[in-house]
Amino acid sequence: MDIDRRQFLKQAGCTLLGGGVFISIGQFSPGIAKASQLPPLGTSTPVYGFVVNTFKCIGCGKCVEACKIENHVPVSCFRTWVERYLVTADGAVHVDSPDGGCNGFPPRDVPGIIKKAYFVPKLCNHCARPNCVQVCPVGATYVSPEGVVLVDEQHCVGCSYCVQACPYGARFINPVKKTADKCTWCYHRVKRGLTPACVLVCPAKARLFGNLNDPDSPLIKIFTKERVNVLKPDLGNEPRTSYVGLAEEVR
Amino acid sequence: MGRYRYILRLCIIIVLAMAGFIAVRSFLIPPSFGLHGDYKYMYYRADALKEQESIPVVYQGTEKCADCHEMRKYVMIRGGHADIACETCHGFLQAHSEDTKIRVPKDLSLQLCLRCHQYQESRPDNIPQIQDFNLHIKWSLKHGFSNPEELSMLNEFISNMKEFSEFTRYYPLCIDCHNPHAPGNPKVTIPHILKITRG
Repeated sequence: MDIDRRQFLKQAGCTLLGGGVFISIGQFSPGIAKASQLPPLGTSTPVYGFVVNTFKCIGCGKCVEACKIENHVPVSCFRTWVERYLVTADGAVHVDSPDGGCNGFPPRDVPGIIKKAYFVPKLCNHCARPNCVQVCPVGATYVSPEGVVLVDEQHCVGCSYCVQACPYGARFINPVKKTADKCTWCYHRVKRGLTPACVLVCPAKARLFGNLNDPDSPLIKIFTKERVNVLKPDLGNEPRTSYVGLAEEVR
Repeated sequence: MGRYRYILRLCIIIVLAMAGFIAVRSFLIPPSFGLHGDYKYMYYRADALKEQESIPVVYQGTEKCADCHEMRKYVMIRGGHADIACETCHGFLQAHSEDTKIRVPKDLSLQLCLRCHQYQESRPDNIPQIQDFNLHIKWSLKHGFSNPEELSMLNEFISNMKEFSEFTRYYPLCIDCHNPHAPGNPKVTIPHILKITRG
Protein backbone atom coordinates (compact mmCIF):
# COMPACT_ATOMS: atom_id res chain seq x y z
CA MET A 1 0.00 0.00 0.00
CA ASP A 2 1.46 3.29 -1.09
CA ILE A 3 0.62 6.10 1.26
CA ASP A 4 2.33 9.39 1.92
CA ARG A 5 2.74 11.09 5.26
CA ARG A 6 -0.02 13.66 4.68
CA GLN A 7 -2.60 11.01 3.78
CA PHE A 8 -1.57 8.86 6.71
CA LEU A 9 -1.96 11.70 9.20
CA LYS A 10 -5.37 12.60 7.74
CA GLN A 11 -6.65 9.05 8.00
CA ALA A 12 -5.18 8.48 11.43
CA GLY A 13 -6.67 11.75 12.71
CA CYS A 14 -10.12 10.91 11.31
CA THR A 15 -9.97 7.42 12.82
CA LEU A 16 -9.04 8.73 16.27
CA LEU A 17 -11.67 11.45 16.17
CA GLY A 18 -14.37 9.08 14.96
CA GLY A 19 -13.41 6.49 17.53
CA GLY A 20 -13.48 9.08 20.30
CA VAL A 21 -16.95 10.27 19.30
CA PHE A 22 -18.19 6.69 19.07
CA ILE A 23 -16.84 5.82 22.50
CA SER A 24 -18.33 9.00 23.98
CA ILE A 25 -21.77 8.24 22.54
CA GLY A 26 -21.54 4.68 23.76
CA GLN A 27 -20.60 5.84 27.25
CA PHE A 28 -23.07 8.68 27.70
CA SER A 29 -26.16 7.91 25.63
CA PRO A 30 -27.81 5.56 28.15
CA GLY A 31 -27.69 8.34 30.72
CA ILE A 32 -29.07 10.97 28.38
CA ALA A 33 -31.93 8.71 27.42
CA LYS A 34 -32.95 8.18 31.04
CA ALA A 35 -35.17 10.51 32.96
CA SER A 36 -34.58 11.11 36.65
CA GLN A 37 -33.53 7.86 38.27
CA LEU A 38 -34.89 8.67 41.69
CA PRO A 39 -36.64 5.66 43.15
CA PRO A 40 -40.33 5.77 42.25
CA LEU A 41 -42.75 6.77 44.98
CA GLY A 42 -44.16 3.79 46.84
CA THR A 43 -40.81 2.03 47.33
CA SER A 44 -38.91 1.65 50.58
CA THR A 45 -36.18 4.11 49.58
CA PRO A 46 -36.87 7.49 51.15
CA VAL A 47 -37.61 10.42 48.86
CA TYR A 48 -37.55 13.59 50.89
CA GLY A 49 -39.82 16.58 50.60
CA PHE A 50 -40.21 19.91 52.40
CA VAL A 51 -43.30 22.02 52.95
CA VAL A 52 -43.37 25.64 54.08
CA ASN A 53 -46.69 26.83 55.48
CA THR A 54 -46.67 30.60 54.98
CA PHE A 55 -49.91 30.96 56.96
CA LYS A 56 -48.07 29.79 60.07
CA CYS A 57 -44.72 31.58 59.78
CA ILE A 58 -44.37 34.23 62.51
CA GLY A 59 -41.06 35.65 61.27
CA CYS A 60 -39.08 34.98 64.45
CA GLY A 61 -36.03 34.00 62.38
CA LYS A 62 -35.10 31.11 64.68
CA CYS A 63 -34.82 28.89 61.61
CA VAL A 64 -32.22 31.17 60.02
CA GLU A 65 -30.26 31.33 63.27
CA ALA A 66 -30.34 27.54 63.74
CA CYS A 67 -29.29 26.96 60.13
CA LYS A 68 -26.33 29.25 60.54
CA ILE A 69 -25.19 27.56 63.74
CA GLU A 70 -25.81 24.00 62.58
CA ASN A 71 -24.05 24.43 59.25
CA HIS A 72 -21.45 27.06 60.19
CA VAL A 73 -22.76 29.48 57.57
CA PRO A 74 -20.71 32.71 57.35
CA VAL A 75 -22.30 35.90 58.65
CA SER A 76 -23.10 37.53 55.32
CA CYS A 77 -24.51 34.38 53.67
CA PHE A 78 -27.75 32.46 54.08
CA ARG A 79 -28.77 28.92 53.29
CA THR A 80 -32.28 29.83 54.34
CA TRP A 81 -33.84 33.22 54.94
CA VAL A 82 -37.20 34.77 55.72
CA GLU A 83 -38.78 37.50 53.61
CA ARG A 84 -41.39 39.95 54.88
CA TYR A 85 -43.96 41.03 52.30
CA LEU A 86 -45.93 44.22 52.90
CA VAL A 87 -48.54 45.24 50.33
CA THR A 88 -49.69 48.83 50.78
CA ALA A 89 -53.11 50.24 49.88
CA ASP A 90 -51.81 51.53 46.55
CA GLY A 91 -50.77 48.02 45.57
CA ALA A 92 -47.02 48.53 45.99
CA VAL A 93 -45.17 45.48 47.29
CA HIS A 94 -42.38 46.02 49.82
CA VAL A 95 -40.10 43.06 50.51
CA ASP A 96 -37.40 43.09 53.16
CA SER A 97 -35.24 40.56 54.93
CA PRO A 98 -32.88 42.31 57.38
CA ASP A 99 -29.95 39.94 58.00
CA GLY A 100 -32.06 37.25 56.37
CA GLY A 101 -34.43 37.52 59.32
CA CYS A 102 -31.71 35.99 61.52
CA ASN A 103 -32.42 38.38 64.40
CA GLY A 104 -36.14 38.67 63.86
CA PHE A 105 -37.88 41.60 62.21
CA PRO A 106 -38.06 45.17 63.53
CA PRO A 107 -41.37 47.06 63.26
CA ARG A 108 -42.05 48.02 59.65
CA ASP A 109 -40.71 51.29 58.24
CA VAL A 110 -43.18 51.33 55.36
CA PRO A 111 -45.62 54.20 55.94
CA GLY A 112 -49.30 54.08 55.17
CA ILE A 113 -52.01 51.50 55.41
CA ILE A 114 -50.95 47.91 54.95
CA LYS A 115 -53.39 45.92 52.86
CA LYS A 116 -51.70 42.58 53.14
CA ALA A 117 -48.68 41.33 55.12
CA TYR A 118 -47.02 37.97 55.57
CA PHE A 119 -43.70 36.18 55.96
CA VAL A 120 -42.26 33.72 53.45
CA PRO A 121 -39.32 31.51 54.44
CA LYS A 122 -37.08 30.61 51.51
CA LEU A 123 -34.50 27.88 51.01
CA CYS A 124 -33.11 25.63 48.30
CA ASN A 125 -35.97 23.94 46.48
CA HIS A 126 -34.00 20.74 45.81
CA CYS A 127 -35.44 20.56 42.33
CA ALA A 128 -36.01 17.21 40.68
CA ARG A 129 -34.55 18.78 37.51
CA PRO A 130 -31.97 21.21 38.90
CA ASN A 131 -30.26 23.73 36.63
CA CYS A 132 -27.35 24.04 39.04
CA VAL A 133 -26.38 20.40 38.66
CA GLN A 134 -26.57 20.48 34.88
CA VAL A 135 -24.29 23.48 34.52
CA CYS A 136 -21.53 22.34 36.91
CA PRO A 137 -18.48 21.81 34.71
CA VAL A 138 -16.67 19.51 37.15
CA GLY A 139 -19.45 17.33 38.55
CA ALA A 140 -19.15 18.89 41.99
CA THR A 141 -22.88 19.28 42.54
CA TYR A 142 -25.26 16.39 42.27
CA VAL A 143 -28.54 14.85 43.36
CA SER A 144 -28.27 12.27 46.13
CA PRO A 145 -30.25 9.02 45.86
CA GLU A 146 -32.85 10.57 48.22
CA GLY A 147 -33.38 13.58 45.97
CA VAL A 148 -31.26 16.06 47.94
CA VAL A 149 -29.13 18.45 45.86
CA LEU A 150 -25.65 18.57 47.39
CA VAL A 151 -22.27 20.18 46.74
CA ASP A 152 -18.98 18.26 46.84
CA GLU A 153 -16.76 20.81 48.57
CA GLN A 154 -13.59 18.88 47.80
CA HIS A 155 -14.32 18.95 44.08
CA CYS A 156 -15.93 22.37 43.58
CA VAL A 157 -13.72 24.92 41.82
CA GLY A 158 -15.89 27.90 42.81
CA CYS A 159 -16.69 29.02 39.26
CA SER A 160 -20.18 30.28 40.30
CA TYR A 161 -21.98 28.85 37.27
CA CYS A 162 -24.43 27.14 39.60
CA VAL A 163 -24.99 30.37 41.54
CA GLN A 164 -25.99 32.06 38.31
CA ALA A 165 -28.08 29.14 37.12
CA CYS A 166 -30.26 28.82 40.24
CA PRO A 167 -33.50 30.69 39.56
CA TYR A 168 -34.25 30.90 43.27
CA GLY A 169 -31.03 32.56 44.46
CA ALA A 170 -30.48 29.69 46.86
CA ARG A 171 -26.75 29.32 46.23
CA PHE A 172 -23.76 31.44 47.17
CA ILE A 173 -19.99 31.22 47.15
CA ASN A 174 -18.83 30.52 50.68
CA PRO A 175 -16.30 33.29 51.45
CA VAL A 176 -14.36 31.00 53.79
CA LYS A 177 -14.22 27.80 51.73
CA LYS A 178 -14.34 29.57 48.34
CA THR A 179 -16.74 26.93 47.06
CA ALA A 180 -20.44 26.87 46.21
CA ASP A 181 -22.64 26.47 49.26
CA LYS A 182 -26.34 25.84 49.74
CA CYS A 183 -29.01 24.25 51.88
CA THR A 184 -28.56 20.48 52.22
CA TRP A 185 -31.84 19.89 54.06
CA CYS A 186 -29.36 19.08 56.84
CA TYR A 187 -28.41 15.82 55.10
CA HIS A 188 -26.15 14.90 58.05
CA ARG A 189 -29.10 15.18 60.45
CA VAL A 190 -31.63 13.50 58.21
CA LYS A 191 -29.41 10.45 57.73
CA ARG A 192 -29.31 10.15 61.54
CA GLY A 193 -33.10 10.18 61.75
CA LEU A 194 -33.38 13.81 62.85
CA THR A 195 -35.23 16.63 61.14
CA PRO A 196 -33.38 19.59 59.58
CA ALA A 197 -32.35 22.18 62.19
CA CYS A 198 -34.78 24.82 60.85
CA VAL A 199 -37.68 22.36 61.12
CA LEU A 200 -36.69 21.41 64.67
CA VAL A 201 -36.59 24.93 66.05
CA CYS A 202 -39.57 26.42 64.19
CA PRO A 203 -41.95 27.33 67.04
CA ALA A 204 -44.95 27.70 64.72
CA LYS A 205 -44.45 24.44 62.83
CA ALA A 206 -44.36 26.42 59.61
CA ARG A 207 -41.67 24.15 58.22
CA LEU A 208 -42.28 20.47 57.70
CA PHE A 209 -39.90 17.83 56.43
CA GLY A 210 -40.58 14.22 55.66
CA ASN A 211 -40.28 11.14 53.54
CA LEU A 212 -42.79 11.15 50.70
CA ASN A 213 -42.75 7.34 50.70
CA ASP A 214 -43.86 7.19 54.32
CA PRO A 215 -47.66 7.17 54.62
CA ASP A 216 -47.36 8.53 58.19
CA SER A 217 -45.28 11.49 57.07
CA PRO A 218 -46.80 14.88 57.96
CA LEU A 219 -46.26 15.88 54.34
CA ILE A 220 -48.78 13.38 53.01
CA LYS A 221 -51.58 14.99 55.02
CA ILE A 222 -50.55 18.45 53.82
CA PHE A 223 -50.50 17.39 50.18
CA THR A 224 -53.91 15.77 50.58
CA LYS A 225 -55.70 18.49 52.51
CA GLU A 226 -54.02 21.77 51.55
CA ARG A 227 -53.61 23.75 48.36
CA VAL A 228 -49.90 23.40 47.78
CA ASN A 229 -47.83 25.22 45.19
CA VAL A 230 -44.17 25.63 44.28
CA LEU A 231 -42.13 28.71 43.41
CA LYS A 232 -41.80 29.50 39.68
CA PRO A 233 -43.46 26.29 38.44
CA ASP A 234 -43.27 27.53 34.84
CA LEU A 235 -39.48 27.06 34.80
CA GLY A 236 -39.90 23.30 34.84
CA ASN A 237 -37.35 22.61 37.58
CA GLU A 238 -39.92 20.60 39.55
CA PRO A 239 -39.01 21.87 43.05
CA ARG A 240 -39.38 19.47 45.96
CA THR A 241 -39.95 22.33 48.38
CA SER A 242 -43.64 23.19 48.36
CA TYR A 243 -45.50 26.13 49.83
CA VAL A 244 -48.91 26.36 51.45
CA GLY A 245 -50.60 29.74 50.98
CA LEU A 246 -48.27 31.11 48.33
CA ALA A 247 -49.41 34.62 47.41
CA GLU A 248 -49.14 36.04 43.92
CA GLU A 249 -46.55 38.65 44.97
CA VAL A 250 -44.00 35.99 45.94
CA ARG A 251 -41.29 35.26 43.41
CA MET B 1 10.84 -2.38 7.26
CA GLY B 2 12.91 0.74 6.82
CA ARG B 3 10.12 2.60 5.00
CA TYR B 4 7.68 2.05 7.95
CA ARG B 5 10.01 3.33 10.63
CA TYR B 6 8.30 6.68 10.77
CA ILE B 7 4.94 4.95 11.33
CA LEU B 8 6.44 2.96 14.17
CA ARG B 9 7.79 6.13 15.74
CA LEU B 10 4.41 7.77 15.49
CA CYS B 11 2.68 4.75 17.00
CA ILE B 12 5.10 4.74 19.92
CA ILE B 13 4.46 8.45 20.51
CA ILE B 14 0.68 7.94 20.40
CA VAL B 15 0.82 4.98 22.78
CA LEU B 16 3.03 6.89 25.20
CA ALA B 17 0.76 9.95 25.03
CA MET B 18 -2.31 7.81 25.72
CA ALA B 19 -0.61 6.02 28.57
CA GLY B 20 0.44 9.36 30.01
CA PHE B 21 -3.09 10.70 29.68
CA ILE B 22 -4.59 7.64 31.39
CA ALA B 23 -2.01 7.83 34.18
CA VAL B 24 -2.60 11.53 34.85
CA ARG B 25 -6.38 11.07 34.61
CA SER B 26 -6.40 8.21 37.12
CA PHE B 27 -4.25 10.27 39.43
CA LEU B 28 -6.45 13.38 39.22
CA ILE B 29 -9.92 11.81 39.31
CA PRO B 30 -10.95 10.45 42.72
CA PRO B 31 -11.58 6.70 42.68
CA SER B 32 -15.24 6.94 43.74
CA PHE B 33 -16.06 9.52 41.08
CA GLY B 34 -18.53 8.15 38.57
CA LEU B 35 -22.09 7.66 37.48
CA HIS B 36 -24.40 6.70 40.35
CA GLY B 37 -27.73 7.02 38.55
CA ASP B 38 -29.02 9.49 36.04
CA TYR B 39 -26.13 10.97 34.07
CA LYS B 40 -27.54 14.48 34.17
CA TYR B 41 -27.81 14.67 37.93
CA MET B 42 -25.98 11.77 39.56
CA TYR B 43 -22.45 11.95 38.21
CA TYR B 44 -20.47 12.59 41.38
CA ARG B 45 -17.86 11.46 43.87
CA ALA B 46 -19.55 8.86 46.07
CA ASP B 47 -17.28 9.62 49.02
CA ALA B 48 -18.76 13.13 49.13
CA LEU B 49 -22.03 11.63 50.40
CA LYS B 50 -20.23 9.93 53.28
CA GLU B 51 -18.46 13.20 54.10
CA GLN B 52 -21.82 14.97 54.21
CA GLU B 53 -23.25 12.30 56.52
CA SER B 54 -20.32 12.55 58.92
CA ILE B 55 -20.81 16.25 59.71
CA PRO B 56 -21.43 16.53 63.49
CA VAL B 57 -24.91 17.44 64.69
CA VAL B 58 -25.20 20.65 66.71
CA TYR B 59 -28.93 20.83 67.43
CA GLN B 60 -29.67 17.45 68.96
CA GLY B 61 -33.42 17.42 69.43
CA THR B 62 -35.90 17.53 72.27
CA GLU B 63 -35.73 13.80 72.94
CA LYS B 64 -32.04 14.12 73.74
CA CYS B 65 -32.82 16.85 76.30
CA ALA B 66 -35.59 14.71 77.80
CA ASP B 67 -33.11 11.88 78.40
CA CYS B 68 -31.82 13.82 81.42
CA HIS B 69 -34.37 16.57 82.05
CA GLU B 70 -37.84 15.66 83.22
CA MET B 71 -39.10 19.14 82.33
CA ARG B 72 -40.41 18.02 78.99
CA LYS B 73 -42.57 15.28 80.46
CA TYR B 74 -44.24 17.19 83.26
CA VAL B 75 -44.22 20.87 82.48
CA MET B 76 -44.08 21.29 78.77
CA ILE B 77 -47.09 19.13 78.04
CA ARG B 78 -49.52 22.02 78.50
CA GLY B 79 -49.83 25.51 77.19
CA GLY B 80 -49.00 27.14 73.90
CA HIS B 81 -45.34 26.22 74.08
CA ALA B 82 -45.90 22.48 74.40
CA ASP B 83 -44.83 21.69 70.85
CA ILE B 84 -41.79 23.94 70.80
CA ALA B 85 -38.36 22.31 70.88
CA CYS B 86 -36.17 23.08 73.89
CA GLU B 87 -33.39 24.34 71.63
CA THR B 88 -35.63 26.99 70.09
CA CYS B 89 -35.31 29.15 73.22
CA HIS B 90 -32.39 27.58 75.08
CA GLY B 91 -30.02 27.33 72.12
CA PHE B 92 -28.20 24.30 70.78
CA LEU B 93 -27.36 21.36 72.98
CA GLN B 94 -24.08 20.12 71.48
CA ALA B 95 -21.58 21.53 73.98
CA HIS B 96 -23.78 20.73 77.01
CA SER B 97 -24.43 17.16 75.90
CA GLU B 98 -20.72 16.51 75.44
CA ASP B 99 -19.83 17.99 78.80
CA THR B 100 -22.63 18.66 81.25
CA LYS B 101 -20.43 21.06 83.17
CA ILE B 102 -20.84 23.46 80.25
CA ARG B 103 -24.13 25.14 81.03
CA VAL B 104 -26.65 26.08 78.39
CA PRO B 105 -26.71 29.88 78.54
CA LYS B 106 -30.02 31.21 79.86
CA ASP B 107 -31.46 34.03 77.83
CA LEU B 108 -34.05 35.67 80.07
CA SER B 109 -34.26 38.82 78.03
CA LEU B 110 -37.35 40.58 76.85
CA GLN B 111 -35.99 40.45 73.31
CA LEU B 112 -36.13 36.67 73.17
CA CYS B 113 -39.86 36.67 73.94
CA LEU B 114 -40.55 39.62 71.67
CA ARG B 115 -39.02 37.86 68.69
CA CYS B 116 -42.23 35.89 68.51
CA HIS B 117 -44.63 38.07 70.47
CA GLN B 118 -43.98 41.63 69.34
CA TYR B 119 -46.79 42.91 67.17
CA GLN B 120 -46.21 42.62 63.44
CA GLU B 121 -48.80 43.00 60.69
CA SER B 122 -47.21 40.01 58.99
CA ARG B 123 -47.71 37.77 61.99
CA PRO B 124 -50.73 35.42 62.12
CA ASP B 125 -53.47 36.67 64.45
CA ASN B 126 -53.54 33.52 66.55
CA ILE B 127 -50.11 34.34 68.02
CA PRO B 128 -50.41 36.50 71.18
CA GLN B 129 -48.70 39.79 70.34
CA ILE B 130 -47.74 42.89 72.29
CA GLN B 131 -47.81 46.26 70.57
CA ASP B 132 -46.79 48.43 73.53
CA PHE B 133 -45.08 46.93 76.55
CA ASN B 134 -46.25 49.62 78.99
CA LEU B 135 -49.83 49.33 77.79
CA HIS B 136 -49.57 45.55 78.18
CA ILE B 137 -48.55 45.86 81.83
CA LYS B 138 -51.19 48.46 82.61
CA TRP B 139 -53.88 46.34 81.02
CA SER B 140 -52.63 43.23 82.80
CA LEU B 141 -52.69 44.96 86.19
CA LYS B 142 -56.15 46.33 85.58
CA HIS B 143 -57.55 42.96 84.56
CA GLY B 144 -55.33 40.76 86.66
CA PHE B 145 -56.98 41.37 90.06
CA SER B 146 -60.59 40.73 90.97
CA ASN B 147 -60.18 40.47 94.72
CA PRO B 148 -61.27 43.90 96.25
CA GLU B 149 -58.58 43.71 98.90
CA GLU B 150 -55.88 43.11 96.30
CA LEU B 151 -57.33 45.87 94.08
CA SER B 152 -57.13 48.45 96.87
CA MET B 153 -53.55 47.37 97.64
CA LEU B 154 -52.73 47.71 93.97
CA ASN B 155 -54.25 51.21 93.73
CA GLU B 156 -52.28 52.28 96.76
CA PHE B 157 -49.16 50.76 95.30
CA ILE B 158 -49.60 52.55 91.97
CA SER B 159 -50.50 55.90 93.59
CA ASN B 160 -47.28 55.75 95.61
CA MET B 161 -45.24 55.52 92.43
CA LYS B 162 -44.13 58.86 91.02
CA GLU B 163 -44.29 57.63 87.47
CA PHE B 164 -45.42 54.49 85.76
CA SER B 165 -41.95 54.07 84.30
CA GLU B 166 -40.75 53.51 87.85
CA PHE B 167 -42.82 50.38 87.91
CA THR B 168 -41.71 49.13 84.50
CA ARG B 169 -38.13 49.78 85.51
CA TYR B 170 -38.50 47.15 88.15
CA TYR B 171 -40.55 44.92 85.95
CA PRO B 172 -38.34 44.19 83.01
CA LEU B 173 -38.91 40.53 82.22
CA CYS B 174 -41.81 38.61 80.74
CA ILE B 175 -40.89 35.60 82.85
CA ASP B 176 -41.57 37.59 86.03
CA CYS B 177 -45.26 36.99 85.37
CA HIS B 178 -45.41 34.34 82.67
CA ASN B 179 -44.14 30.80 83.00
CA PRO B 180 -42.26 30.31 79.73
CA HIS B 181 -42.71 26.53 79.89
CA ALA B 182 -46.45 26.69 80.33
CA PRO B 183 -47.65 30.15 79.31
CA GLY B 184 -51.20 31.14 79.87
CA ASN B 185 -52.80 33.47 82.35
CA PRO B 186 -49.97 34.86 84.45
CA LYS B 187 -50.05 34.21 88.17
CA VAL B 188 -49.50 37.70 89.48
CA THR B 189 -50.12 38.58 93.11
CA ILE B 190 -49.51 41.75 95.08
CA PRO B 191 -46.86 40.11 97.28
CA HIS B 192 -45.21 38.91 94.07
CA ILE B 193 -45.13 42.46 92.67
CA LEU B 194 -43.85 43.89 95.96
CA LYS B 195 -41.16 41.26 96.10
CA ILE B 196 -39.91 42.18 92.63
CA THR B 197 -40.12 45.95 93.02
CA ARG B 198 -38.57 46.03 96.50
CA GLY B 199 -35.93 43.44 95.63
